[in-house]
Amino acid sequence: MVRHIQFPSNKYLIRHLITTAPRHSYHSATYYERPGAETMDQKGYIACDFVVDIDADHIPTNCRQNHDYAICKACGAIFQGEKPLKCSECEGTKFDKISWICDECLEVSKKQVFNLVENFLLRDFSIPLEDIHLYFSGHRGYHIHLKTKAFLDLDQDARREISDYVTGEGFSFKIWNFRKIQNSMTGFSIEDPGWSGKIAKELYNILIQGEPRIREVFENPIYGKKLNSVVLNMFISNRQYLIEQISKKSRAWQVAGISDKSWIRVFEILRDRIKADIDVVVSIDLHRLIRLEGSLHGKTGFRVMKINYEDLKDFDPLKDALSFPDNPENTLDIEITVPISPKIRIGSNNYGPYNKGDKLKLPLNAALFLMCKDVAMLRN
Amino acid sequence: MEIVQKYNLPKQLFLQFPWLNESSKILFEDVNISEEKMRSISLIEMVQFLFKEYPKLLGRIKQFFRNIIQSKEEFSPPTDDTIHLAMYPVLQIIISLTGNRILGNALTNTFAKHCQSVLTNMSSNRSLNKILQDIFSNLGISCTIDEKIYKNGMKFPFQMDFPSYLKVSTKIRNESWKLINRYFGDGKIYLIRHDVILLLREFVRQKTQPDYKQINKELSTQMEKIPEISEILNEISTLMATHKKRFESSIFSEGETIGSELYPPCIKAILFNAMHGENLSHNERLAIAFFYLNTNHSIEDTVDIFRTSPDFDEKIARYQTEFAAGGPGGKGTKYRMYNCVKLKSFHLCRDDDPNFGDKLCRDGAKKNNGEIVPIQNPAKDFIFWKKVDLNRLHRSQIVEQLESSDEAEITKKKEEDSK
Ligand code: SF4
Ligand SMILES: [Zn+2]
Ligand SMILES: [Zn+2]
Repeated sequence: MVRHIQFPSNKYLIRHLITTAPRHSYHSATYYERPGAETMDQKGYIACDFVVDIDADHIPTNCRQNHDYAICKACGAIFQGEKPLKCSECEGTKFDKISWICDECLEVSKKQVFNLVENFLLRDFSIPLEDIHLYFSGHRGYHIHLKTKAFLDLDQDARREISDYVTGEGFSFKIWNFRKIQNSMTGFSIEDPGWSGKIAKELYNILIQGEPRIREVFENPIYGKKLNSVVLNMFISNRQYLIEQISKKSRAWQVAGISDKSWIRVFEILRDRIKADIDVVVSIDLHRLIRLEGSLHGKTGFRVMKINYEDLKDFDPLKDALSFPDNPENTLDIEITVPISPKIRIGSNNYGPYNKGDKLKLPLNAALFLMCKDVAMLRN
Repeated sequence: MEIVQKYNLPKQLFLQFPWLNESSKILFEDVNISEEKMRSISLIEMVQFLFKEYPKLLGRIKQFFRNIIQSKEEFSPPTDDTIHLAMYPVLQIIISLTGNRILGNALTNTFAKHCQSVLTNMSSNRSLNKILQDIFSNLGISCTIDEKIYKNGMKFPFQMDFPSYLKVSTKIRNESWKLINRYFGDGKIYLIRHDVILLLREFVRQKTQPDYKQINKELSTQMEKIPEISEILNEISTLMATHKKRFESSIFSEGETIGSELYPPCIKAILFNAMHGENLSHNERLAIAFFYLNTNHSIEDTVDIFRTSPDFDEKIARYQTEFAAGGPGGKGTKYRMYNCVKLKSFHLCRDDDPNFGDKLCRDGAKKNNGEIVPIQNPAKDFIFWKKVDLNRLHRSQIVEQLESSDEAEITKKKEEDSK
């Protein structure tokens, strides 16, 4: 890896990229007095963009079980989904991982971008839309850069605080006065700005959708421990009462038989639904490297590109971020080198699944993707 | 009350709060020096000039140091005359000259506390909210007032922009100041008056921090030649010698500035702050006490950490430490060390800190079979893996340690069961 390079202008950068053709290219999100210096001390920190990384890699999805797998390095046994701690065939602990993308995981990260921008950045933080710079990462997620002065000057503590806010970390039930006082329990007011109001709103939204929805939410294993079924039934039978209380902006949510503990479990589930799934480590790092806009992602061959927020809804990474024109004449001859190359859509066609040894003539973008994913090699 | 029209604030406030942005101008006006002239004279000339202009300045400054070195973080009155104003730049310079951070923190604490008490005493003043708003605007902090805002039956008249809020709230290190535990919307945090005064106190603490790099060697030799300055410096060292315990921490051996190499970043950072006379937050105190008590330190050792704190009170420190150790004699349950998750939520994790950070904390520990395990507890797995890292343990010892800790767990379980 070559680091600490400084270019006098774009022209030099482009020449460097042409001559060295790196598989991955990054730039620093930090502004330095002397970016070319070798150590952080010598560089002279000035300020740093606030960067948010949303990546399907960090968000639990069900599709991962279908399209990711691990191969035992010792015996070649294949394990669907996450890699196991130990190979059940030979006890080996070293694996090659094949991690794939599909419409489902790409959609999940897009949804989280909308959540972050709409419910947090625009509403709570009141950041003008034009200050929100959105990029497709070239793989399975998005980067958001906030470059306003207010963000540039934030120290690490402040960045962590913002990340905690966005991810729902550190909500204190005690401070919010959530406790039972002689049989009367206070909840939150739907009008409140900030998290207490968010929780009230989310609860309300679920309750008005009726029993099946309530069950679906509070029994969804994706949020961890399910809500106790007795409590759940109590919720359902007191649904109307709670809806009324919340819409009256009342904080008296007492339902006989639901303990503080159960309420807290309810709130935890609500919190997980409300939070934006960002990669906290990226946002609090003051010396972060970020993929260079316009470069190709070395694991897909897709373009790292800027997207207008208004265009995000219709943005299709598997079509809009392809690096080469969709020309059927332009093909490459490749051979599959791993046991399974899962199905992938590129443009409007599906490719695969393929098996080891398959010899294929594929359009450039598709062939490039498989080679970048290290599941195929070029044939001559 | 005479309002300084240009700046919107009563003149008296400028005298009381020399850290306000235009306070120095009031000082120049008092001594009849034009701004232009003031800008052209050197730091040395300014100090000489102030001592000449205010004969009582010397005595007042000495009194200040007498107070803080005896752990009395307050100004002796009066605190609202021009001499109070003139003290500020000179105190800053003297403390930079000494390079002593314990004195520096005592200085910032004194200004911060003074500000809080002045404002709290004004609480019957109907224009206090307006004054607070004007102080914030003077400091460049965006905070608006709307007296009509109520939340949950309580008045929340102040709305502060989040960047300003975060600049200080995160330094209070208490969960009630976390953004997530506040009414927050449209980029603003809704606050009551009491909150705002506490935040201002933190701003003052930051704003009055001496700039230790401001004075280079040459300048300092020149400064020390000013008779008043050298007199004050002499007095400071005599005073410090009589309060040795506070200015020399016993937990660090000679030459060792940061602490044992086995301590995790979070603990090193707290120790460093304690050693430099910063007042520790409640959570920091508990974290350090739990850590010490869970790593075979005595109650004496633990109480000693707090000795350098400006607000040190032997009785209270001992009581709190004994409490953490499970009551006098340690009979009750000893509290377990906070784990990393807790410390992170308190903003006390320093895994990435340029001075204290540690790869072990950032990347986790690598087991023999290549598996990466994250650090979860500063007093347990951090120390263990650090020893492994530093080759402090023999392989057999590692096994032994793991087994004995298992054994300890088992005996503890048994004891609990038999109760
Ligand atoms: S990871 Fe744990 S031990 Fe390390 S600095 Fe953070 S809190 Fe301390
Ligand atoms: Zn195997
Ligand atoms: Zn998927």
